[in-house]
Amino acid sequence: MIEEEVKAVALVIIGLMGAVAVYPVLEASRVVEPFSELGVLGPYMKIGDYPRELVVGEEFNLYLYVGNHEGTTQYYRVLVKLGDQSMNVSNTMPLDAPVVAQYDVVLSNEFNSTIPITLSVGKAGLNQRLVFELYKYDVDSGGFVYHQRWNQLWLNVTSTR
Amino acid sequence: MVLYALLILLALLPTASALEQEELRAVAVEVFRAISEAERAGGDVSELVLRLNEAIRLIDSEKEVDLAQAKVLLEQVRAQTSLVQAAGVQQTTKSYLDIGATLVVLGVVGVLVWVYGSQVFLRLWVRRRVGWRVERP
Repeated sequence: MIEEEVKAVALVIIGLMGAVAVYPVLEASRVVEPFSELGVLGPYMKIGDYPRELVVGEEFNLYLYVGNHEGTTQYYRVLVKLGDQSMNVSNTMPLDAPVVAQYDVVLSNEFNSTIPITLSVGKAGLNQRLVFELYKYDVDSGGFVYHQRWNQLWLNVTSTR
Repeated sequence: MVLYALLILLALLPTASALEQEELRAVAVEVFRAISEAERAGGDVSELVLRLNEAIRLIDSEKEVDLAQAKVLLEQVRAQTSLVQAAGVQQTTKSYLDIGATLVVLGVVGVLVWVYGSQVFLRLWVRRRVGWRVERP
């Protein structure tokens, strides 16, 4: 009876040691919930103080924040588009408007980057919409795909101050 | 006539630069694909990523000098990628061999425990209690 118990305890300990040896290797490449981040920060690198009233051609500074939690290194592209309130943008459909600027960044897993950008709007108009869309390079398809992340700024742009 | 030719050339310069910029962006994507493969093979690509970002920053600056520098940097990163990939494969193989060896050792220990464990345990138990007397209650 004692003999059986000794064997059982010893084998359980050996089994646990085996699991401890194998688990980190199997778990290393597993990501439970992969995701990416896109943020637009104001001129002071904070959420706020965004420009609202601008003159045509007036330059303004912002920061783009991109974060990678996908489990592998990613090549991101942020497209800045200028549209208006009649145009639609969603998590599945990017804005159908001209690209005014493009920013690329490659990020290792669990890394982020804050990119200073300077923009200006070339035409006057009320409620213009500056949309920032995140694209990710898809190795399988060999192209950049819309990654369902977008931000926007509403702008009133006048020809004179 | 020469002046016109010069003016045309000057007008074309930004276009040439923009074309080169697009070409370099395509090269940057190719280099990224190579980095992804190296990472999948288990290589440490963090240094390559830093240098690729430096190249992208130079491409975005649109200056001729920077574009030339970006081109050199991209080629350097591309050349290093295969080395990192090879090192990654080696490292992954080694870690799998280590795990395999650990499991084999544990298996052998398990068999030994199964066959001789009880005898060894009882022998140790008896040796520890040598000289003890069993009294009738």
